[in-house]
Amino acid sequence: MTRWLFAPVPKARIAAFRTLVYLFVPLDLVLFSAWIRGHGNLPGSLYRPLVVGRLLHLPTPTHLIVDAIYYTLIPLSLLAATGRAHRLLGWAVFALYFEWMIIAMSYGKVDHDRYALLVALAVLPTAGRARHGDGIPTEAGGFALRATQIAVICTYFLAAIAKLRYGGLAWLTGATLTRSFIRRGTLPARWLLRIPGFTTVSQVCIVGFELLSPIVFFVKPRTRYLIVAGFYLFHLLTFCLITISFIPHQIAMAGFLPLEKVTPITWLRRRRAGRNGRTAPAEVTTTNPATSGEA
Amino acid sequence: MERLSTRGRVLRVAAVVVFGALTLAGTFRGDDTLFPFAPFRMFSTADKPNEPVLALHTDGIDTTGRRIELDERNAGVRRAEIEAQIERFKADPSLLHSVRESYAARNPGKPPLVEVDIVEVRHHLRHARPTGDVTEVVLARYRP
Repeated sequence: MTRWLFAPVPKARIAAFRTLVYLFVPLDLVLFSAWIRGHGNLPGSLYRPLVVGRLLHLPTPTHLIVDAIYYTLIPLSLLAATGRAHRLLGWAVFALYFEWMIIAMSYGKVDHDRYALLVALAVLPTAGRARHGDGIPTEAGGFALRATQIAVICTYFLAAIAKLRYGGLAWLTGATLTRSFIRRGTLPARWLLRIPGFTTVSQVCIVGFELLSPIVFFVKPRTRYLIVAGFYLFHLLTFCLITISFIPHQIAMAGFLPLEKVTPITWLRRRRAGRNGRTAPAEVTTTNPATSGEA
Repeated sequence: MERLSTRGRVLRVAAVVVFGALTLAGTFRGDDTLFPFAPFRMFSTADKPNEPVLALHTDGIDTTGRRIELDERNAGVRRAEIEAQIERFKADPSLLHSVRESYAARNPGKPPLVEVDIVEVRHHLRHARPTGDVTEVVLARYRP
């Protein structure tokens, strides 16, 4: 079990995942969940503090607080995307984004599409120093990705449990998808509503896939990538039908992929070195004592 | 290979156990207030296949008499948040003044709202498919 939990991954994968996650955070603030910023304009009477907000004595969000987090988080996250000062910047981004999420979820509606991203942000500062193109395997990095993967699969599996807890078996034959298709469905969704039994069959398939999702940890890499591709396809279909993107979850799910094989940074470095008339620096393959040991 | 120290491993396993236990406890026994350990309950309620689907929308009427549907972009209101606190708005429609102010802050120069309504639209169903019948009811109305 611990061998599985700490299965090493190349440092380059951590560097790539770090860049992806920390570049996503500003995009999320500005683009994907721009509505959160609007909470700064809402009166305190609509604030419904979460348990964590009460335990930490967090203040009721105001325009000033929301803007302060917004304008601090964006540059800090961009800096963190470089991989420098990974602990200091990583923890700062985690703390600010967590508070941003608390502000988001403290007005009566709680979403679960960010659980895995929050876990990714919590573990990335512990993943150790990592450079793009660095092939040295790291256990701290392996754990960070494994924890993120577990959170991704928890999001599916425990969503099925919640459906059975709140909806019971009636969820399978109920009108939940019909409801979402009517309330926020696109044209194709409205068209699909005309097919008798379509939503019921889809609901059975959704719960089935959610309950079976942990299988991804017990299959060979090739099958695993196919299953993860299936997850991405599911979110693409969901977006096309009810415009729910689950994009933060999808970013965290990239922790399943061999991201080190996408190498724009290494390519840029080589290109720059080539322009300067020097040979490209070889990929680091030896252990640097300064960076080994616990992250 | 960069290995973890025993201390590093123990701390990480302990964190997995603690956060895993909190997540499971939230899923089986908790509620939304426990975020980030709240149940993963988006789309988890079972809607009855022969009862109407209810959808709320928030409308504003400006000084020119134009009816505008208020949303995240133009007024910073999310339908799910209005739905979650609908009983409060029904009991005290004056709470909607914040929506009016939020609209004014986001749309400088546009005519102000003279009315904010929360409207419930009922889409009637049979065997989990819409019959095409739709009715509308105003649940809360605020006029400054």
